[in-house]
Amino acid sequence: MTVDETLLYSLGLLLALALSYLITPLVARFMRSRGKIGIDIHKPERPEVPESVGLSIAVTTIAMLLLGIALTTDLVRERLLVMILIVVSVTIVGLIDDFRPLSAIAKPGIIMVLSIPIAIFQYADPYPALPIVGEVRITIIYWVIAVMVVSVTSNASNMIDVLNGSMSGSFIIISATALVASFIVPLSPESEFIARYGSLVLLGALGGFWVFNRYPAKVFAGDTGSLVTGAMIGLIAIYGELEFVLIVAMLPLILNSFSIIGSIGGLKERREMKARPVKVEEGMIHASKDMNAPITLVRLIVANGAKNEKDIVTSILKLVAFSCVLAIVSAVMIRGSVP
Amino acid sequence: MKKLLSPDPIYTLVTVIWLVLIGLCGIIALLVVPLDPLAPLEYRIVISALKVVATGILGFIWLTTWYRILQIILVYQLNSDETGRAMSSRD
Repeated sequence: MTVDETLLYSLGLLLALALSYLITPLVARFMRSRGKIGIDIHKPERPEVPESVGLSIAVTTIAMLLLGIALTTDLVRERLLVMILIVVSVTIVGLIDDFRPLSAIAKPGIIMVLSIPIAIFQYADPYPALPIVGEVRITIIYWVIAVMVVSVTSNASNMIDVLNGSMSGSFIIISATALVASFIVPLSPESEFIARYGSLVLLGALGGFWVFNRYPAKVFAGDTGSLVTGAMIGLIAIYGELEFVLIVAMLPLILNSFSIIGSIGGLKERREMKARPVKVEEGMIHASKDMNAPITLVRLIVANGAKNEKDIVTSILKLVAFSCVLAIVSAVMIRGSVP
Repeated sequence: MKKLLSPDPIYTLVTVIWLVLIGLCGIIALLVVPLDPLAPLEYRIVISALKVVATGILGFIWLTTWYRILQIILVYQLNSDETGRAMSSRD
């Protein structure tokens, strides 16, 4: 990487960090004035916390991607434009869902439809690199899978956003992993820029937000923040050619979302669930013994003994960090497989 | 000492899933055999479709196995919590 590129990426990270840190309190104040308040149910005093403040993550990401357009070549600009289109669309879906809840099936369905531009414009490389195999030529099937990826990652992000800092902290680690992997996996110049710049932008946007969202949280991301974060990681995976690496990095989150869907028999609203996965007693979170309750990552973590929220979030972040180490090992294996 | 040495089952599960994913890549490597470009179009379409179906079935088996293991881990963890509480109440 040249000195100019190092400077560009460093400035991108710092700018995203600063923007997110400055915007988050403003968005929080705005949401509070609109009555968008949530109750932090995992604390004995049940404080009121402004919700949907993840709009600051979305605004920062969009602003930085727009800046990226000014700094790059035509081939990269095309990809960035599609990314911006999808991120803006997902932000709108998130805001609508936060204020007028969408059904559990509508949300991922709509995001899948909004991801169709990925298949229409086909700027991504339809030859994903896998360990042992190297590049796989799957063309048509790739576009079908690519359209689903953003919906899957958004959903996974949404489903892990249950405790203070669990979503933002997890994706900070995952974004950092994407950045490291971009130096290991052989990438085209366009994908290299998307992978590095995209992951630094997300890292900065989440970093500034996390300061307020970590335990004890002063703001909640809401569906706006979690869906946009997941969508952005999905787009980095596709346009940054880091599909396999980011699947491995997100394994605990994908595990969480698929086990929830599997255990409740499909995509359902919370009110349709027969039992809650955990119960809160005096600030301690206990696993439900009801076998009809959904299997969630939090329930698994507290299954062998009640824990407080802070300890559970630490456990989640450690698990994500572990899967990110496996993701880096996967990146090294891919490097060895691609000639 | 025993608690320090016994691995958290969730970490073991994530590692196993990753190893299975790597194994699936190995199987895909066997399936991804370049087709003769001079072969009839229908033959190439059918073989390509079969490869996709085979990969899809393997992926479904992977997901189902993963989910079953999760259920087993949950039951084991819940039972070990009850056993632990019963032993400490006897003390």
